[in-house]
Amino acid sequence: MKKILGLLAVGAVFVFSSCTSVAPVAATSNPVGSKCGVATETKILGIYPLEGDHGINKAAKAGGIKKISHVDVETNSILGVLYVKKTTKVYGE
Amino acid sequence: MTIKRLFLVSVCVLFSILSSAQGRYSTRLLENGTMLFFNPCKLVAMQKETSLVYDMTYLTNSDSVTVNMTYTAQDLHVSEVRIVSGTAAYQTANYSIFYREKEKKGIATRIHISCPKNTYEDLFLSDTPMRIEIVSKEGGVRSFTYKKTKWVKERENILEAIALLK
Repeated sequence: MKKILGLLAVGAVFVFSSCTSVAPVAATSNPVGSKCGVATETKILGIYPLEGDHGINKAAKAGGIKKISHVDVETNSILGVLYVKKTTKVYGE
Repeated sequence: MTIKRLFLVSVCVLFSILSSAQGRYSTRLLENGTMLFFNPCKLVAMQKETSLVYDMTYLTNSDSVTVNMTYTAQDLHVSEVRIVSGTAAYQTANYSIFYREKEKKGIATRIHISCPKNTYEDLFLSDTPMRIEIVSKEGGVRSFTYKKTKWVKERENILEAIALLK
């Protein structure tokens, strides 16, 4: 029983040490656009990429965007480096 | 470490990964309304060596929903795109291609279509998981769909998000 509780406590540490944050990357003088394009990079242990490109160009191409209004990046991580997923979102027309 | 302990730790880690999954959509205020962007979703391929990831943009000031998808296969040319769920269906040969790129698993084609809003909302009313079909110019049909359990949650999320905007 004590061991199970201990393992559940470890699990709780994992849960509370994972986080999601959204940060601004860039904003232009263009109006907020009605299109959105996304590009994602996922890494394990900070070095092994599962998906490799979260650049603005890839995200803009994915949304068919030719005039960028603003760019955000969303980061999902577990224990900092164990699992990190970065998603670039480009908005524009 | 015993197998039982290892299993319990794995379950705790998996739970933490699932609980930290990013939100299904994001909203933006526009000059004439609101934009609802549903993040990319990978569907289950019903044939080998193909994949499809799609995202949706829903605008309150528009009569249609934008659906963009990345279709990866050995096929080069797309003839038609169909979206089917239960009795609701939408098919179109009126699509545009944003880009085509060579990847390890084949040719990735980024396809853009517009679907009438009413038709699109009807697709999420059915209990039958939605299916996206890509018809190639050579006549082949490639199908992609949701797992049943994921469809139940997806329907709920999307209908709730759309209802909040109305």
